[in-house]
Amino acid sequence: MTEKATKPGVRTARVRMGGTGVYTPPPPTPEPKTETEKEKDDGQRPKD
Amino acid sequence: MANDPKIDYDWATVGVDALVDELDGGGTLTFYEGNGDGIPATADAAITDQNVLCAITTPAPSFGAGANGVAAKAGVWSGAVILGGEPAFFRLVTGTRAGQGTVGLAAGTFDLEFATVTWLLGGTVTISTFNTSLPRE
Repeated sequence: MTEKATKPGVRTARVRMGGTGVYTPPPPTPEPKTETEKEKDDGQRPKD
Repeated sequence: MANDPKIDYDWATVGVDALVDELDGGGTLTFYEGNGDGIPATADAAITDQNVLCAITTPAPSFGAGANGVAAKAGVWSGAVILGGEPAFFRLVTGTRAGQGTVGLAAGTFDLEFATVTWLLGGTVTISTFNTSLPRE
């Protein structure tokens, strides 16, 4: 916090505010499937 | 002799309780990038063109009771990054009250520190510790 200026030589009380935190990145976006993977998936579909 | 006022622990606790009681109904902890006009000189200064990266709604109450001049956050303070960037300062606001502090890489030099300050859209910011304190000597 900013210490407000007063007369020279006068000490001002200083509030403190803060701490620590954690940043967690977003989950990775799945890459688009290749044509080969799509064909493979199609072949695994159960038949009616 | 130069001026050198001091208060004891009990009086510091009274003071810090008065500060954090303003957040008994909750508040908002907002992280800003240091772009544009940069870090405001005071907590009274208006936010102008600084980007908001993340805004966390703090619970009611936001702080526990003070002890030895220190009040620690209560409950979970967490929110999503709404704009990627590097935070430079925060504002803790309730109604017309505002506190402000610097934000940066953990090195013991900023008010609120993180191990990572390159924030991406969709990430999550969680406050581990957050204290409000008055000097007691």
